[in-house]
Amino acid sequence: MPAGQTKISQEALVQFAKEKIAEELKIEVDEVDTDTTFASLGLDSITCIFFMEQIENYLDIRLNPIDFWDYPTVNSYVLHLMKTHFPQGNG
Amino acid sequence: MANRAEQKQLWSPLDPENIQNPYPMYKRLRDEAPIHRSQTGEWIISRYDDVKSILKSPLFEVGNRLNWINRSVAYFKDKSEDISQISTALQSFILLMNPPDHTRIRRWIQENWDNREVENIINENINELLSQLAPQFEVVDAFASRLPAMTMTRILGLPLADYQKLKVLGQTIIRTLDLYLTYKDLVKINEAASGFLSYFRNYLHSGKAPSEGLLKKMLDNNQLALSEDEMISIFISLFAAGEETTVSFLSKSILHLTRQPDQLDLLRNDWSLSALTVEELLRYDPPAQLLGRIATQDMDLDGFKIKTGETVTLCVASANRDERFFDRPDTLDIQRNPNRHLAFGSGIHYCLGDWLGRIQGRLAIEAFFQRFENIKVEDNELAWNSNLAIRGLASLRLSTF
Repeated sequence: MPAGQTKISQEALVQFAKEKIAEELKIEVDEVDTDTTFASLGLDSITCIFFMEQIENYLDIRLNPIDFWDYPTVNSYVLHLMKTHFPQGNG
Repeated sequence: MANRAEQKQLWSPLDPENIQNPYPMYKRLRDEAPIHRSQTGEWIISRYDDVKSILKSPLFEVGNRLNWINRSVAYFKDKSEDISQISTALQSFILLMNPPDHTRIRRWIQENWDNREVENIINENINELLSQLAPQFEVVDAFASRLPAMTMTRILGLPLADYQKLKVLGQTIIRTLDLYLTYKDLVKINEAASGFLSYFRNYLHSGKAPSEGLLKKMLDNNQLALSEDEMISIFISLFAAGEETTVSFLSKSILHLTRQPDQLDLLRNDWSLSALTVEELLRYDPPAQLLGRIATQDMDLDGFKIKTGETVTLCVASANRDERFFDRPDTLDIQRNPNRHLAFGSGIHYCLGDWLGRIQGRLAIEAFFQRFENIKVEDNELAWNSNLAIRGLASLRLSTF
């Protein structure tokens, strides 16, 4: 993965997701484990709507609402977003 | 990680391939995991016997959706976002209500309903719409999506000129029942709810309230002492519940019969088969494919522990194709009889609009295929709406000659 920018974007996106989840759950950003499922962290079918809305607006993209459940951790979700919306080379 | 992402989930209702044709997914569910705990936390039920027994079981209630909407409204209010019109508009949706309110309101609507009058209205509408069609047309927009809205507008006694507007509102608000929504969807649904509420409020206070029709009868016979907003919510539900489902049914019926000329010929040779044809089309590809229920107590279902408050999604379209119950389930056979499909559900929530859906379907199919001798589907690839809760065509271009 030599494309440095893609990597940076991915990290930035992980960071953004962590911040939004921390805000939502009123915990510290460092407490958001990126390999724990959203549901175990405490997000549900309503809070995820707000979470996804913030990502949509941040990246100016449209998300498929079931992806939240198909890629149920910060890491897998961000990876999925990178693949589908920012394929390598365009990063 | 790559493996995980590439392997399709057993439950993928938004997957483009499944939107195009969900039946292979249903079959996989029936065969591999008939009671499936999905990634979203709901239980997916796909076999006929299980779907039917849950529909009839007092241990399961409807309304998880209304409850969910009300919780969403409260949640977004905390974020200073107001989507509360949805709750107001949906408060008396009987498809989201449980006894005893459900029973009372349902009976009351039926008491004010007049089958013969409605049949005349439908025939008038069909003739009007069919006579306007050019030799080539897009059947969803030009016919299927107009008929149910025209019919309900006339049944209620509202000005016919308003039917297009009410159609769009109805199609939007029923999206509340879509499985997974985004915030932008909720905002659109809220706008439609607001549009509906102000339409009826203005209408009732304009002094131009109708002199006849269901709306007037219901207002005159308000034994249940419903508030104005509760009453309006019922009017909205009549539009919403019968709109998208009927559009879906009419356009898919035309598609399936056109594509299966042997069955269409059978029907053309014997129009008395039209009622059975409607039943078979309802079984073969029902409009409402997924119904939600909520468990009211902890229970054991074939060894699976279902807890109070958990949601089950009943795949009625899968039940209708269950080879454990139906002979040759994937074959469209308009002479199938008996035909105990679950297209309208079963038990106390059995669709209140079943008669209206069936009669519109039967009259429309008869009139359509009597008018057009030769019909050709012009689309190489069909365009489906990306929503399995109500599976319908986005468009269907036909030429007739």
